[in-house]
Amino acid sequence: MVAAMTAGVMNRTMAGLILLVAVMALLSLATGDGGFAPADIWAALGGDPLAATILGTIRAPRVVTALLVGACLGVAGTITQAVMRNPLAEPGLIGINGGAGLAVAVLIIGYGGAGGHLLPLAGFAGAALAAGTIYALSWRGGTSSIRLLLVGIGIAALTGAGTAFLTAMGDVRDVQRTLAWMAGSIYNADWTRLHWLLVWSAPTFALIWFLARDLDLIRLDETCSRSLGMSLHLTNGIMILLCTLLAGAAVATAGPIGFIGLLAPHLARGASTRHAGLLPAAALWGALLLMGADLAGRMVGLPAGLLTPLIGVPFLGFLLWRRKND
Amino acid sequence: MTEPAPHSPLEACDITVSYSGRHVVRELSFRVPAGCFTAMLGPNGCGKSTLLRALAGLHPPETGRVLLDGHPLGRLSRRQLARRLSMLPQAPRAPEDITVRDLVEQGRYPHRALFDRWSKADEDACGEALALTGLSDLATRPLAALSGGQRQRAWIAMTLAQSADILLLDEPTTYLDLAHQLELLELVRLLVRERGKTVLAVLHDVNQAAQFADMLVMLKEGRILHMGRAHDVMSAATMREVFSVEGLVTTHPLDGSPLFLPAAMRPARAG
Repeated sequence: MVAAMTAGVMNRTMAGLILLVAVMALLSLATGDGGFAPADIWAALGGDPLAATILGTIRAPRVVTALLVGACLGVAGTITQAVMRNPLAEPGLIGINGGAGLAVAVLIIGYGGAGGHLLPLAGFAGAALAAGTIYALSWRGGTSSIRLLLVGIGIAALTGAGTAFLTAMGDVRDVQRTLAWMAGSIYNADWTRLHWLLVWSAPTFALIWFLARDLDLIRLDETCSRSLGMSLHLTNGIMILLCTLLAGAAVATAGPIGFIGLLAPHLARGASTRHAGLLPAAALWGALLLMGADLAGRMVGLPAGLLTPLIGVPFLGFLLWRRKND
Repeated sequence: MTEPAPHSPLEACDITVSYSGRHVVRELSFRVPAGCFTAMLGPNGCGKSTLLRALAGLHPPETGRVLLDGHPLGRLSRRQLARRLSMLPQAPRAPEDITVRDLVEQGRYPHRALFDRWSKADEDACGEALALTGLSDLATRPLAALSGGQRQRAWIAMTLAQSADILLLDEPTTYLDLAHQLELLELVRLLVRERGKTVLAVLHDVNQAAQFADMLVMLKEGRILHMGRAHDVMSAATMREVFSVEGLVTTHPLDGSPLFLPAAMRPARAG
């Protein structure tokens, strides 16, 4: 009975979240350069070729990209918090943003702005390389959450220093492009990139959801997880790999977008205490947050990546304040 | 009191275990008495916890072997091992939002394959674990909202849901007040007597160990000095030898178990 009751609460929370995501998607679709114009949607549906083009090639891919990148970040954040056993962890801690930033800076500044189409690839490669380095360096016959955390902080400082060096030395225009990329934005979304993101992330989502039970156990005590029969180091490695795939794909698509990986898992905690429910809820919250940030950003002419800290920082403060008062 | 079974499933054969480069357990052989509540005693740093971790397969010995049913632990997968043996570390940590029920259900992990649904056997094992530990009514509460004693019982419930016949407990009474300590030891005794579990627990209070445990194991500097029933191994001489504490052993006026009364400590001597 208790289980049925919690399932009921969870289903209602999920349904509410899905509804919110749908409303936010419609709002975003209906908002363009001319402000809020729901008539555009009717016109496109009615066969107006101009409206259909604007919606189909500009707004729709942007909205769906925001949705998908947000979901990737939400899920990646949930994994990071479980693996690190730390509610303040986020994918940036395993080097995703730092690595991607450095790789993109190297590509733009080091190679004179050539190969703009390679940016997503460079972003992903940098993210994966940094995550791999952190994992390898924290390995001492096994990994522990605290070692991952400490090495992660070190690598973040190192990649940050590398990026700072490049931006200090580079050509002004290249540096500006690099910095624009680092602000994190989805303004240049198109169907081709979206297609890649979907192909990349969908199977990863499925795999993670199947491993939800392992995430439930991994966030318990290290000794307990092992004595309950988990091959902790193997599972840790798989989780970090899956997290890198998602967060790396997100950063490759939209540049580094902070705080969603931290916020979405926390907002999702109301929905469930199990990862089978937590993961979809975090994905939905992530989608909602990024679509919201992108929508707000379009209204004031700022990239979404600059707006997420505006929501994120006060929330982080609230989180710390609440923990202190527990 | 029941006679200890001659064949014990879990044994250490001549093991040496190192911890940060130091031999903590030295050439030690030990059969965990089957169907008994065995308490492990010894001064700090004598290797109790390390021995427990080695027996649980969490810390492989440098030399020697740990056998379960005659097979070296290394031959078993972690999952297979977890179905036979559960270990509760000292002061385990849990995420703050986890409920008692969530925690106890983790105990079923080794019994479920990747695509297995939650089964009747899983449900029954959790229900029984909650009932045995008296937590059925608190199942939906967050772990963080419980008292220290209740929380420790929830961890025990998790290891019970694991349905292993051997339980290794590392200082299960630490951080509990006296009433909760006794309650927990009573629960352990019940698990041994009525559920046929084999329990090996590290305890600090020698008198509680004498009162509740069937067997005592006394460790010092990585070696077992004495092992047997409390009446046989607890004496002024063994207490001096193991703990370097003077005192006398008398009889507990209420239940007849041996009772150690320490004398005031003399200034510390080397060794």
